[in-house]
Amino acid sequence: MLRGTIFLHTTRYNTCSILINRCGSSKALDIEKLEQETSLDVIDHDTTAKEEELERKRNKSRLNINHRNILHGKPPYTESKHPFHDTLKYKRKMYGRYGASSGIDVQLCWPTREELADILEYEKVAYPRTILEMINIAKEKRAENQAKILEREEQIAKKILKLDAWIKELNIKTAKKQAEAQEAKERKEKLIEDVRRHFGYTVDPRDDRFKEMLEKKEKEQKKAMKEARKKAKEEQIVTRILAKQDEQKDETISQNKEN
Amino acid sequence: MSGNITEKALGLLRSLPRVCLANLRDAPGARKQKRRGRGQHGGDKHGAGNKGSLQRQNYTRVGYETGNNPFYLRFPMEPYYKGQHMRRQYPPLSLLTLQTMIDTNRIDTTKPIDLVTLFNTGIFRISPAEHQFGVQLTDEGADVFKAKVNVEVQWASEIVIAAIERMGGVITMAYYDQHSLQAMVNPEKFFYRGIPIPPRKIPPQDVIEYYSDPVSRGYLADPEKVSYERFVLSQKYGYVLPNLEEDENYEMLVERKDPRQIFYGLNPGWVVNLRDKVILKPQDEELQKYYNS
Repeated sequence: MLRGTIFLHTTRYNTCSILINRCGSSKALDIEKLEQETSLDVIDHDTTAKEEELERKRNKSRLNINHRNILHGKPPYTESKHPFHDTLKYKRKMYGRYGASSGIDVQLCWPTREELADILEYEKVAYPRTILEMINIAKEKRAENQAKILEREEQIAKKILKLDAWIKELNIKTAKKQAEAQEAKERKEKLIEDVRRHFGYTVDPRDDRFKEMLEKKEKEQKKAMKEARKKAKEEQIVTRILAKQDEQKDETISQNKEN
Repeated sequence: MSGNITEKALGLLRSLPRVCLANLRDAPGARKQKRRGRGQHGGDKHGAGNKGSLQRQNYTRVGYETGNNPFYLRFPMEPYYKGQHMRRQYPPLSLLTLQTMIDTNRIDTTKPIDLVTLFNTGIFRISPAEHQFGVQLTDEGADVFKAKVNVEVQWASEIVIAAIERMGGVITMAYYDQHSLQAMVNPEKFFYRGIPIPPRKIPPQDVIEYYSDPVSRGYLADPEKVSYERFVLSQKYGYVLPNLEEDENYEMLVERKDPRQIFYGLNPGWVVNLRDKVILKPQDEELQKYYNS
């Protein structure tokens, strides 16, 4: 019923019957129209019947009525023959193809208020943002990515400044490690040599006596090393104290001179 | 209560189609189902064949290849192709082909060129159902392109933009959703469906920047910024930018579609009837609001 007030169309199609059910068949009766038709029919009922009979006889095409209708550019069915013929899609299609002659109410082409509400709800979910909002989001994202890239580049630049020092450090470290390893190796060799010399002849290194001797020598060597370290430490302390004393002396001298 | 039901039943009966051969059903018991034969010779194979798993109907699971390394497990996962089937495609059309279409009178350059024009040549088509979202103009033949056109495509490189603007033409990148594209692929078929022209949807988030950027001549960009970028591009490629305002086809060259519009001259919400040669426009305020938003 709403539709009657909703649409105003530009065609000669003004006296269309309003369908109550969009998906029902189009058999609503227009009483006024029927009356007019019947009143017209009464006058030349015989002639029209004759004409129809003639038409029927002339039609030798052997085509189905629906096929013949299609061939002559008319809608194939005048009434619904199949549940599909009552669907909105079919009716719209019939209007689209056969125009006003299809007898379909043009109002059916557009969604009803309820359908429109459904469409709007769908669009609200599917397209929640406006174009401007989307553009702003894209801009923010781009800026964020750019900031990330810049930050990373800065980090790399900072690290590259230190790179030479790091390489030098690493080289020193590895050299020191190597030297230590070499020293340890030499020390071990020397030990074994010492043990051999102690026995005066070549002894199997797996021999118990050899092992005992080796342990002993090792202990001795460790002791010697410990002492050497102690001595070095003491020497260091002594030099430090001396240096301090020298400084104090210098300071007193300078103070005296100032006074 | 009972009167209501009768009314309902009568209403239903009225809306039902007339009884005919197409909707008649067999009388109950008219057809008898075959029973599977049993016993020593009565039930021989029951249509299940002779010997093996087919007779015993103990089928192997789907994809099992009797001991082979099955096809569905044969290849390792390829994560770099994730989402590949969902990506938008833009089938290419070279500037050379466009020039050829113009030279062979397939395209009228006195009117704006859009996808519908290209489809109407009959030698270019896309399939929206296969995730093809329009056309991309490629730079092949950029040196020989001589036409002055107002063209609207979906994707183009900087060189293509320069090649068209150098000749005094105009190019716009516009996004169309799949439903709009389907209407454009064959407008006649679309109008036969008897539905109103849908409003064009807004581009998705990942291309909104492209379609709103004046550098890429997006249809959502500010026209003033676009004209500035036209000048910038002419400086970059070293050509003199022809003045649009002094052009005799100025009105044609500045014609653009509304971001909601699909066909030139037709607004969303209109129903075009080719049989009666009429255009029907909705008068309802809500509908107008929806179609013009």
